[in-house]
Amino acid sequence: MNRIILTLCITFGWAQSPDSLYQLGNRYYEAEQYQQAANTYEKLSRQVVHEDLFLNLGNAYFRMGELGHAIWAYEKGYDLSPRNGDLNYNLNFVRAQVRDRIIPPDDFIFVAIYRAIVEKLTILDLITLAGFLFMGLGCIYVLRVNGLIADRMGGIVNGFLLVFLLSTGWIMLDKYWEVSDEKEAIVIAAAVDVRSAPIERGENVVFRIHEGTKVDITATQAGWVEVILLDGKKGWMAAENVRTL
Amino acid sequence: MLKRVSLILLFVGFLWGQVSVTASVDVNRISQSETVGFKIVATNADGTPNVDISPLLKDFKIVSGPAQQTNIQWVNGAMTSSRSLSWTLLAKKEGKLNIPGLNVNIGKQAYRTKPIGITVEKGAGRAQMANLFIEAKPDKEQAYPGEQVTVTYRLFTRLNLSIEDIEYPKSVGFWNEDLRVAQTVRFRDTQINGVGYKVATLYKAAMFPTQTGDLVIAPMTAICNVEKPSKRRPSGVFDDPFFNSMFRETQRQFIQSDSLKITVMPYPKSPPADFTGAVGKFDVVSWVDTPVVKVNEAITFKVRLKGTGNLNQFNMNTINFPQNMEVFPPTSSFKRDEFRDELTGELSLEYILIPRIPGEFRLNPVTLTYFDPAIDQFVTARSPSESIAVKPGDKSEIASTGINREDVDFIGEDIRYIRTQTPKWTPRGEQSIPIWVWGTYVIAAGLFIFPGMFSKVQSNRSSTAGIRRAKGALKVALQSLSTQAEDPFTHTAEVMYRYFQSKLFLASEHLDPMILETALMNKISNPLILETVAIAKICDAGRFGPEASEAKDTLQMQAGELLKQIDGELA
Repeated sequence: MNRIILTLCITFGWAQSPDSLYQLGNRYYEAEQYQQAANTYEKLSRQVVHEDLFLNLGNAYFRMGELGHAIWAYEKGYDLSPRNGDLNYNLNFVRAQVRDRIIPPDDFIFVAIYRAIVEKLTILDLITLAGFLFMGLGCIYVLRVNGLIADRMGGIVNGFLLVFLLSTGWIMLDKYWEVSDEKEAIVIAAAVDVRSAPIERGENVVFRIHEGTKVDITATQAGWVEVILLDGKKGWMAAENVRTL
Repeated sequence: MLKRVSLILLFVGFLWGQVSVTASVDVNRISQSETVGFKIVATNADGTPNVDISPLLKDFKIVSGPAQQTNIQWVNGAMTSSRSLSWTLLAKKEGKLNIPGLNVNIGKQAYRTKPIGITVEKGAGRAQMANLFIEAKPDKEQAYPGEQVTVTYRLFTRLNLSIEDIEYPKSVGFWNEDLRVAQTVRFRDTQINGVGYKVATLYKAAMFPTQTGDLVIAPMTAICNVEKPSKRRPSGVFDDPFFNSMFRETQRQFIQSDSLKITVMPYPKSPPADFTGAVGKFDVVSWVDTPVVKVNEAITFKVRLKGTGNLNQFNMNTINFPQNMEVFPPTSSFKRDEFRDELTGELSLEYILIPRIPGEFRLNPVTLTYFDPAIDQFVTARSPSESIAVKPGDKSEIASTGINREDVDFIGEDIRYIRTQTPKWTPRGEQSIPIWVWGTYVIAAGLFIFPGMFSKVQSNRSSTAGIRRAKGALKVALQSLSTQAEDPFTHTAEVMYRYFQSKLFLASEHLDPMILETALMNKISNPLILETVAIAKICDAGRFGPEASEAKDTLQMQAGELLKQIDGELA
């Protein structure tokens, strides 16, 4: 039945709008035609973005056994909605199956807490939070000008709000720099040799990474990318083996 | 050829001889405390003899062995080899005993030894063995099932000795608890009938009869090496105590205590239904860690059984807990203590209870029915009952299902399913900040600007109040004059004075025609001043006298016209 519906959908060109493409992808997925589902979601992701779309795309890739693409899709969704429970669950589930175990150096506890906060907030969250804090400061100002709040209390609340606002502003800047400066990618090939130089020679392999591992791209050069791992290992690999986020 | 082979065979046969197996003892007549050496010798055997000695064990106990020995002898070119196995045996009873014929296997060949008769005479007894004996002494000879009988085994000696081995008694019909096992034997001096002995306690046991009737406590056996002076040592310069001690000989001696007979009597009364075999004296206490809890919170219920008697040989009576209270299997601990040779201990049980509904719960007393041999009666020890108040919990209560709750069974893990509902799309590359977010900034900015504007407007208004009043003075005055007042003189005077006050910024509230004339001087034309003063005077006259009553009806209109003209000139 599902197949008939799918055929009809394609035949009559119904699957053109984002909504119908999404539903078509879902039907493929439900019919366990994961390749078609992934293709449809990919096509849709070139038009629109939403965390649900990337969740579904990641699921389709995972069912196909494409760990790297699945993680890429979940990471894309995570960037849009870092507090989405299903995305987080699926991302962690699939990450657990990645062969490489890269242990980043331990951060100082406050740095770790700060990183966790930054990671769970989007720039839009921070802009919204700053807006509310700014509004709160305005309210306090109005109350103080019109003598509706005690000077001492007004001063304390004002101070707190100001500190929060400045912190939010700093985090926002940090996040912006992070997003604009860092270029991350996911390894999509089963196993990739990372070389000391962008030349394919037997002796220049420095380490080997596997599908699903997240890398930071630090430089690019005609068909090659220079990558750095979380633990600081660095080297060159063929650009076709990674998918940038 | 045939002759040559026959000669070789004859020679080999001569060399190897005939295989024979014989059994022998070193002595045929012994006393019950003496041992006998038993040896099996296989002559010219090419393998080790394998002997089944199980028929021996009926009447004899093996003290040591088998010891193996091989001898090869060449006599006049003829070789004789023998392999022997020897045991040291102790007779289990007196009388004429028989070492039966034993089956001996050497390689694939089977042989059988001849039986040997041994006469075992009655043991030498304590009187004859007065120099060395073990005394077994029970604290009582009659007991009830489960009642402790303490048996003490003491070694008495007048000789220097060392103990090689002790075999502790294993008696049928008793549950045995070691009270004291001597690790090192310590002798002290004592006297029996004026004869000095050294005595040491070898073993002390608490024996609990498990059945009624005449029961026998098995004897205890010890192997001692007893010192005696060597007779071969020559006398002379070396005959002093130092060298004596070096050349002393020891003799192995087996000693055995007497068997003890204990009469186990049935209980004087038939036991109650809840009697589970506890005999002694016990006490039961129980308590809860907190008497007030909330639903689904755990309570620890502790039961402690303390006493002297056959602990470990009975079960606690079943504890009936209230319904709607989940009970987890208890953890138990046992602490044993020997106090004055009585087996004392403490059994602790710890239950975790979880009430599932609110209310008042009562935990029944924990009971233990035991037989107290000191008073020959059954006694029930009981702990006080406990009450628990269970208050409603923070979360909704779960009705008790009567089964123990378990964790959710973990079958496997998988990713979470896709989202099927169409979301609100954001066109690619057009992720924008929602308008309501901008709204917060606009409102915030407004809040900062508004109090400034407000205060500015306020201050402006207050600073230009006079000007505004001056500007609107004619309008106000004409409006007031347009309505006919009951007292037009007073009304007109008030309106005019108020107009001039506002227009000319006059501070005085008490205006009269003279002040008005002075104030208007050089501001308006003289005819208008005169007309104003005239009207003001009419008003005053009208207010304070009847002369100007004819001008009453037109006064307001005249005043209005005049004010229009003055306003035109003042502007």
